[in-house]
Amino acid sequence: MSWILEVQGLSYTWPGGFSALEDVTFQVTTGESVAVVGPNGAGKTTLLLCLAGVVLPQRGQIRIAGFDPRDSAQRQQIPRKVGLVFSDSDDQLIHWTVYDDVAFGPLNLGLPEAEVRRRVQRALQAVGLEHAAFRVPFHLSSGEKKRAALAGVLAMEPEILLLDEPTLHLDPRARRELIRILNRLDVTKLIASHDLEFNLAICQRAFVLDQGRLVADGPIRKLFANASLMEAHGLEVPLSLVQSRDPLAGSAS
Amino acid sequence: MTLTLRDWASGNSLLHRMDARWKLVALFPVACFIVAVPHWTLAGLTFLVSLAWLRYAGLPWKWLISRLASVAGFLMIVGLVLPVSIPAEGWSFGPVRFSYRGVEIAALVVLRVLTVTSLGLLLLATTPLDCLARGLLGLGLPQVLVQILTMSLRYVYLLGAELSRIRLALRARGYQRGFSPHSYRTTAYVLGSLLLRSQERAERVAQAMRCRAFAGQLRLLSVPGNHLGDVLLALLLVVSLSLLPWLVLQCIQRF
Repeated sequence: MSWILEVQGLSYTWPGGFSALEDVTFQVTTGESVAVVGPNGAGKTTLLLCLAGVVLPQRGQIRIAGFDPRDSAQRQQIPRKVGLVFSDSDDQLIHWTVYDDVAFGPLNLGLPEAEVRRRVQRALQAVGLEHAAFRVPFHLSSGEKKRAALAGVLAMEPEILLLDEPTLHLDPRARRELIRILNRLDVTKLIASHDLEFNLAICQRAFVLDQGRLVADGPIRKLFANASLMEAHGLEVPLSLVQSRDPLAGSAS
Repeated sequence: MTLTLRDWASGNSLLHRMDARWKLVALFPVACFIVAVPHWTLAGLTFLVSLAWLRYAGLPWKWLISRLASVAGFLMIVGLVLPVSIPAEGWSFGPVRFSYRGVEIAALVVLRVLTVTSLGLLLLATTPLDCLARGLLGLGLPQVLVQILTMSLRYVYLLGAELSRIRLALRARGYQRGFSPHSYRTTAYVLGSLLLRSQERAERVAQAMRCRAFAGQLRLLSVPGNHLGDVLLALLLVVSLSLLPWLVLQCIQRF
């Protein structure tokens, strides 16, 4: 089995003393799509930040796409293989045109300009934003902003995609579009989201985090259908799974 | 304001298509020339030419007037204070004495400010910010300054949008601004909250930049090399905004 991501005994405490992650251990295979769910404050975002090398854990080991984030030289190489899409797209869209913003990452990798332009074109095409290439990010809708932020990460051609609350502020159409785009991407994905139906549409596996601990890890449908597990950790069984179990559920007026 | 500027910056006039470096090279010395113009008539002629360029760029009068009005407060102070504060030959209006020299100096200052503001608008309204950043970098401005400029302008109206949301939330809870300790306290809370939010956003933006391999050096896609057309247009800008008004004034004075 080839692990693209290995985490062993990961613990992180924020300055101020809040323990966000406590002894988290898991492995992810190349090409897997994994949902990270849990109540607010469970440590989902912190986990993604640790994996991307943005914050350094106090204890434990991470091996992501062959890199160890604790090693400074290796940490700088992580953006070549790992892309993190932030929950607020405005944090990520720093340039004055979508095109320049998508080119930001590849330019930082020191790629030749022709290659940068090729990657920008491909990334914009992948998210269906060619028409908005020269628009100001501020003028985009939430869905377009999210896709522009995703394009900025895809242009780096990552092997692992980390997505933090990707459906935040998206309307149903933009959410459906995002599901379609993500399902077409042939990369390993870790998706931290409260949107359980969205997770079901993309992922095969799920982690349940609560109070910084990994409390469950398994096939997504099996975990999400476990009502006692979901309720014990501030979640609920997604409606689609309830309906598939009980054909009358949801049809009552 | 940056938003409305960006709207006009996507036009298609020669000025819009001109290389930002040449635009900067032309307009900066012209602005210095205007600041040094010795007489209000010359400043007035230069102002008229700058308005002509703004109109050529397709910027509507209404928009221009609203932008120029942004310096009206300063100009009103100058226009009111200078004519009555410089002792020289003049006329009286009730107890107030106006001097011809004071009026002349006030007109000179007002016209200088209006012309330089017009040139600033000409630059910003015909140049998308990313092109301006490339132009500034191309002219050798330090990376850090260009980064501060572009990031500030990119995020200043996100901050503005946050302020609008806070104000709406305040109004929704019956808050009315006034001259009271409660009002001052609320304003202070709003400013403090904005400051904290900005700091948090700045941290997240820095994290997001690092995640895309940013290591402190701003890299931008290159722009095409110098075109003869840009050089000629830059020359035309300089001549029309400095030499032409001066020549016209010489002709007027001779006849």
